[in-house]
Parts: sequence; structure tokens; C-alpha cells
Amino acid sequence: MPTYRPCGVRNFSYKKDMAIFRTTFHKLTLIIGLLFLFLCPAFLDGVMLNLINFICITVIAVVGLNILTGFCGQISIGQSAFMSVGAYTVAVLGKYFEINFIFALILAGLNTGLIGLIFGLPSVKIKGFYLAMATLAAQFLIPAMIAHPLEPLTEGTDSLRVAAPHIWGIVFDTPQSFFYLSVSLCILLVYFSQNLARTGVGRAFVAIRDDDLAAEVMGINIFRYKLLAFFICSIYAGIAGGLFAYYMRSVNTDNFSLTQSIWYLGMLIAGGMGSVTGSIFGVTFLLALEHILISIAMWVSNAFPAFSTSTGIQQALTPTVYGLVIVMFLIFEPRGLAHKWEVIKASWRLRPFSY
Amino acid sequence: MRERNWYYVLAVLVLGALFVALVPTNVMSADNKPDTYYIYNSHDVSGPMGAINAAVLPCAEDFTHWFNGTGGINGVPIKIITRDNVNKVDAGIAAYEYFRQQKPKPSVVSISSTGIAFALKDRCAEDKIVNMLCGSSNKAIYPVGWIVGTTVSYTSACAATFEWIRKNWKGGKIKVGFLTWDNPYGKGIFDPKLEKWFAEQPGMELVGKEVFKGRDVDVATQIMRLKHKGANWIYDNTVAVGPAVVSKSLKAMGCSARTLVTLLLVKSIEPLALGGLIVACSD
Repeated sequence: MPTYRPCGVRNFSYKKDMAIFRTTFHKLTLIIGLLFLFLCPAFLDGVMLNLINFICITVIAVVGLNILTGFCGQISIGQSAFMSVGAYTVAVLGKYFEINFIFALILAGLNTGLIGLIFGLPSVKIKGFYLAMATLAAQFLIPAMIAHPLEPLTEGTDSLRVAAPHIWGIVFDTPQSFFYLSVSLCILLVYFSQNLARTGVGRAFVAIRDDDLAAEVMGINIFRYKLLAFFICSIYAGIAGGLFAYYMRSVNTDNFSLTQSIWYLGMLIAGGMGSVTGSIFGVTFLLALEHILISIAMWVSNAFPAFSTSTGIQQALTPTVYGLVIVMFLIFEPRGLAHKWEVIKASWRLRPFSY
Repeated sequence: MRERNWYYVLAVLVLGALFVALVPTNVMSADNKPDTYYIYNSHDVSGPMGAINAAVLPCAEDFTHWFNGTGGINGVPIKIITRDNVNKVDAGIAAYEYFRQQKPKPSVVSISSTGIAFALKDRCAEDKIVNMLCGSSNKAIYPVGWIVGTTVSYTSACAATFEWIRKNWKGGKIKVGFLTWDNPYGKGIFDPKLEKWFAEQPGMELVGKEVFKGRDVDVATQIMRLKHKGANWIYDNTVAVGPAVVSKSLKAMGCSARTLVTLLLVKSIEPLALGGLIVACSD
């Protein structure tokens, strides 16, 4: 999909050509968008803010997965397990060492990055489905390690309670206050990811994804870059897991299931693999859809209880529609929401000759 | 599908969401009595636990019909609002936020699932909302706070069960093996106080503890280990497919298995209160 620019926008330098925000309009919309976003707690209720918090946490995890799978072409179905490493790291650091949450999040990211490196090692030798199976091992191994050998530290399969994060007297213990933390971190990490795609490292990732043999012939150190992709992806997962633990105020291995990992891949596919915007769209769309479906099922069930009981709508609506939407996506828009967004933007710019 | 049709789908979804968000939930009448008392409860009515929790919906409907027929609360009818947790802790927290936002703020909610109860422990205390927890793990309830159990706790049910067995079984020393899910619900019976209780009981001994995953279909290995430790009773406090898995494995191993019906009693735990399925395993 070519990127159409408004008439009169020309790039006279490489720097301008590579800029994320190229026009004044881009910068203006960014500032207005950020202002609007940070004013959200003033006019949104706890339900919506709660949803936005979960979206931000999931966006961090999925954007990290996008670096590994979308940019570098290395499939992983262990993202949720890596999140559990981050979550338990902040929980254990908070419980036993009472470490400030910022340092705990940084350490959670680094710790998860190191664990991710271990599971990234097979990627040097294998790829595709075989690599998927190797990362699947993480999904079984990590929760088992947390639940059993590390039980004295992690309380095993019992939930480990986590204190609400606080700094300078500000406690992030409500959806309203946590919103600023989750949104700020999300913006920071999304910006880093978008930037990464434009650097030499990002281009090396894309070269490996497109043809790893050709990339190696061109002088790219496959071993180094594949491991780097796993490391960065796991750092994102660790930070997302840490934020999840702080928001939930308890962690449990059940929260980080294989199903979650598969859904993270699903979100990436629904949004558009290889696109940071797509990751955000995919997460927002699927999480909001789930929330809306639960609300509609609840409303129908409570408004028409007899109908609900006879049809089982409360039980069936959410999983059925959720599954159907995913199938329809793959049939009608396999390139994801990011592609749809590009089509909408292009048709707007080319109006009245959209076709 | 044409591009325009996508916009229609999107518009319908957005309008649907707005409609649901804007529906008023409670109205006060002139005498300061609400038109309806709302009771908020949230369970896993879909997902893996849906097989047992979905029954909440027709039960709530029947109860509401009967209770309102008796005059409701001081003449005000009740309405039970049920929301699905979809077996996810984040959906449970979302349900809690939804209930918390209602005007007036509810004093009591019922959000079940042991994992969610842990996550709500601090929130309920901060918001001063009582969570009536069905399926009572001691670790979720104690120390006493804003989460209360509406059923006998897993450990009390287990102890009461073996009290009853001791009075009624003539098979000699009772050697108990725990076999349960490897999750907060199942491991709710792994309580030091319960272990101490077993140690103090004459003619009774807790010989081993084994766990299995919720999706496991065979637990023969765990049963073998318990038998090796001398267990002649296996206590399994799982629900849904869990007891069937244990029972199937016992039969496959050629053990004579007796099954007692699962009961969760709210009041009297004498003479019979069972926290789960019990199977006798003896050669």
C-alpha cells in the first residue's frame, strides 16, 4: 500500500523523509490527541478507564510481540508466559525488598529479557512451526517453575498479593490514577517500537524476516539479531506483566495461560502483522469487542430473563460473536485493520477520486 | 464485503455500546425508596467453568420471581444483574468496576472465582463493598475483611466430611490423600490448619497431596502415588469435569470406587457436608 501524502508535502532531506511526524498537521493532531487522552479520566467512568488500562497493558505486550513476529518473522506463542515472569518479578521484589515500582518494572523487563534470550536460542537453528513449538515450551515450563520449584518465593499456585504502586505520595490504586501510569508507559514503549523500525536494527530485523539467508549473505549477524529480537520482545512482555500485576494487585499463574498467548498473536493478525499501528488497532478492537459483547449479553439477559434462559444468550453470545468476527476478519481483511486504516486514509486524500 | 458495509457494522457496534452504556439502572421514587433493589453478581457463566456456573442464570430468575412474589424487600422488588467473567480475572475486575460505578454504589456484590477474590481483596476494603464469595477459600477470606463466604469453606467442608466418615466407616484407620486441581480453587484445601487438624485426629492421617491440571484427562499417576503412600480415601474437591476425571482413572485402575454426591451447605455442616466428590479407593 503506497503512502500518499497531501499535495505540496515534499521531503528535501533524508531526516525529513524518515520522520515519524512529517507535517504540521501530524504534530498538531498528536498534541491534541495527547491532550484529549490525558483528560480522559475527567469525563470517563471507571468502567471505561479500566478497559483502557487493560488495553494499554495488552498493547505493550502485543507491540513487543510485533517486534519479534511482525518485524523479525520469529513466531512466539509464549508471550503470556514471559509476562508472568515480569509479573512475578515485581511481586517478589515488592514483597521481599519493597523496591520502588519504577525500578521493579525496569528489573522485571531485564529479567524477562534474559529469560526470553534462553527461549530464543533455538531460533538460531529452527524456524516456523518448529520455533513455535520451542516457544510453546516456555508456556509450560515457566508457570511450572513458578508454581513448584519457586513456590517458597511465589506462593505457588496461590495468588501473590502486590501492593499498589506509589511515588511521591501518589498512589496508583484506582483506574483513574493508574490510567496515567499505563498510558504514559504505553506511549513511551510504542514510540520506541516505532523508532526501532526505522533504525539499522529494525531494518536488519525486516531483512531476516524477508529472507534470513539473503540477510546473512549481506553481512547481517543472524544469531545476534534474532536473539536481540527475543530480548526486546521479552522486555516488553516483562513490563506489561509487571504493569498487569500492579493493576490487578495480585498475580497468579492462571492469569498467563496459553490461550492468552494465542490471543496476543490473534490481536497481531487482526491488527496487521509488522505494523505498530496495527498492533494497537488489533488490541483495542478485540478487547473493546469482548467488553461490548459481555455488556450486551448482560443487558439482554437482564432485560429479557426468560428469553436469556431459554436461548442461553449470556453464555453463548460472547464466545460465538468473538469467534465469528475473527473468522470474518481472516476472510474479508486478512491484511488487518492497519491496512484498512491505510485504505481509508488514501481514499480520503485522493477524494473525490477514491476509486 | 464492500467497504461501505464495514462502516455499517462498525456504526452498529458503536451505537450498541453507547446504548448499553447509557441505559439507566436505578431510579429513586418520591418516598426515597428505590423502584428496584439491584443485586449484582458475576460468575464464569461461559468458558471452562460455564458447565457449573451457567445454572446461576435460571436460578436467579426463579428466585427473583419467587422472592418478588412474597413482597420483595419492604414492598420493593429485587432484580439480579448477572455479568459474565468469561473465566478471566481481568473480566472479573471489569465486572467489579461496572458494579462499583452504579448509582447508588452497591453495598454488596457477589463476584465468584477464587482468583478474582484474591484480586478484589484490597479493592473491596478500599471501596467498603462486601463481596459475597461463593466457593470459599480460606486464603481469599482470611484475615477477615470485606470478602465473606456464602458457603462452607473448602477446609471446613473437608474436615466435616471426614468427621462423618470416621463415625460411619468401619474400615479401620482412615488414610487420606488429597487429589485436586493445581490452581487456587483446588489448592484451597492445602491449608496448614487443616493438616494440623488431621494430625490431631485419632484414627486419621493425611498421607499425601497430589494435583492435576484442569485440562488433564487422566490422573492414574497421581492415584498410584497416593496408593503407594497408603491412602485408602481420596478427597477431591474439584468441580465440573474434575470428579469425572478422578472417577474414570480409578475405574481404569480397577479400584472399587464409591461416589458421594457433592453438596455445599450454607448452614448446618452436621451431619453431612461435603466439599466435593469423595471416592473410596481400596483394593
